[in-house]
Amino acid sequence: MKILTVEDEFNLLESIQEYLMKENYECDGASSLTEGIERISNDRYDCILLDITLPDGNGLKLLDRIAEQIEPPTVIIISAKNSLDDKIAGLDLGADDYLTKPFHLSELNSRIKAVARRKGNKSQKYLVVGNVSFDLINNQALIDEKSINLTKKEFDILFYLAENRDRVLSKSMLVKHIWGDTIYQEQSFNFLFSHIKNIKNKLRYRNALLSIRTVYGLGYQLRSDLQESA
Amino acid sequence: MRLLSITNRYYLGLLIILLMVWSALFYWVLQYEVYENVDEVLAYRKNLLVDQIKKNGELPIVDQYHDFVIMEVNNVPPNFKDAFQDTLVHKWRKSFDEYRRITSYFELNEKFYRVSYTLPHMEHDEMIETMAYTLPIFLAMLLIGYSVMVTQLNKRVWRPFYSILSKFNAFSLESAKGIDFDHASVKEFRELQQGVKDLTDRSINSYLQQKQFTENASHEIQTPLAIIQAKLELLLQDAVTQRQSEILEDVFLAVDRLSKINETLLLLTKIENNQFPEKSEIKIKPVIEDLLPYFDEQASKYNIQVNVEIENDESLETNGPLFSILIANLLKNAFVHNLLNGKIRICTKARVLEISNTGPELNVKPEKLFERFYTQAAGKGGAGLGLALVKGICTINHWGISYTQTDGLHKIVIDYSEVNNLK
Repeated sequence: MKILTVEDEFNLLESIQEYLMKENYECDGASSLTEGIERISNDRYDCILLDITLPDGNGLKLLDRIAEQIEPPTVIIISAKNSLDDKIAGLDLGADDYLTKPFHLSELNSRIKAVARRKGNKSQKYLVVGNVSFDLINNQALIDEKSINLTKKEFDILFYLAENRDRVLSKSMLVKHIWGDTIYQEQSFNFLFSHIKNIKNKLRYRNALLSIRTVYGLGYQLRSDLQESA
Repeated sequence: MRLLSITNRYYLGLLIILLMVWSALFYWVLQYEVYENVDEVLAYRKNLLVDQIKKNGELPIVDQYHDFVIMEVNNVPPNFKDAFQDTLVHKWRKSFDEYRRITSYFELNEKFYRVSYTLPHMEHDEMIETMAYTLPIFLAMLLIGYSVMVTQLNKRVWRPFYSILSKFNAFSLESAKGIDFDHASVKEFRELQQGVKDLTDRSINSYLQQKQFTENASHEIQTPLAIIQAKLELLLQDAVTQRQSEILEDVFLAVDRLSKINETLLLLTKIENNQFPEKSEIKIKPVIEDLLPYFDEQASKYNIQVNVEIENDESLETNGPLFSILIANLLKNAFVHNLLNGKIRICTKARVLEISNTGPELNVKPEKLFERFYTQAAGKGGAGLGLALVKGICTINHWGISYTQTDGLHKIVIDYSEVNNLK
């Protein structure tokens, strides 16, 4: 998958690219609207991460150019503007998702995958880690085609970890992803802890070949035991 | 009290006092004039009489039909001048009438005589009576005439003032529209208009600047925060010691909190600036049902019983995302400030949404609860912006919001009735 990031803040662009390259994506960067337009006219991208406030104009202008393409890439707007009307304006013009700065790179990664899934074919709706496959239609994790009976929140946590597998996700990232911006609070960390405990138990009970490692004080990391043994 | 009635009151008071003083003076002057007149006539008649007597050389025959009395006296008091005095004369019909009498002396044929000449004059009683009848009528006419004239005149003269006043009252900073005045012919009103215009224009200006500033500042803060967060996340992937990872998590949390405060402030500013004009039909129940699962853990940990009593789900015309934020914050508030084995009750009736929850007693003025950064429960992690957001969303929708506390039950009521909605 080829991704273009249009972002004028060099430090942020660099971090995004570094993170995404580890996911084995092909990454290009553009730091202005002009450069972005140049890139999309010369190359074909699967996904574009688009900042709205660019030094030489509104990033939304790029959306018009994208719409002209035969096989338009998916677009995720990344913007410091969190106003809901920007969001609506962006989505109306053909953007697929919207992330407000500051965001977690793991969240961005998860959104890129989600957008790709929505546009892609059905087979991509499954993600397999170790011997665990994820059924996104029924929100269930399966081992040997049999559900391991996760609750909705447990599934969300496990799937988020799986999408960002081998990465350490901090507790606050997970909490924000599961409970959202408005609702999460100190208490949520305890709840996350007990959810993780339940997930671990359920995985162990079904002999899953993946494990959630606890990084003390910080967060969790999902690893496939299959890959390690192989 | 209105400006015109206060001036009228003073004017009328002064007028009444003046008229009373004037009436007294008028009475005295009139009386003086009457005396002077009568005395002149008396002196003339007396002189005429004395001249006549001296000419004739004999006294006239005096009977009761004459107005004068002549008596022989032994001598004339020294330095005597004609004396005037009031007297009552008993006439027929058993009444006394007021008379004026002149007393004088004259000499005839070596003999001295005293002569008194008496004439009726206008009576005090009658004068006062006449004045008592006529003055009030005169006064009333004067006052009514004056009031009508002054009221009409004042209305006309002060019209520009009231126009300025009503425009000033209708002025709203949020609309950021200056006031346009009609041309006033009176210099002072023109100056007032100019003053009001300068003041409001300046307020609008600084309001817009402040608005812009908050928005810009928040945006500018978001970018470095995004960089910090991204870099931290990259750092996280490298092998770190447990101590380091603990520090990292604390930094993560602090950055999260900062960005949350920043975002909320920005959102508040935007709400107050009315930047969410899109509206749609929203049903309350689905919004609540979507959000409640987020609090499942909280509910089960503290064994909080939640009752949603919405039978006829009313729909309301509002901005969907903002309404969700409103409900989410109200729910969060109800869950966070609750007790073990507590209760939450959500119900709608007659276009009023009520969320009540059990909780520790609060010593706070209701209006303070909705202020920015107001927080009483230390360590709950909130910045005190949730209810400020709720209030902001209610305000732009013209919904009423109130908070009451009775017997450990905290109730927030949102009134979204059409009357408020249409305002």
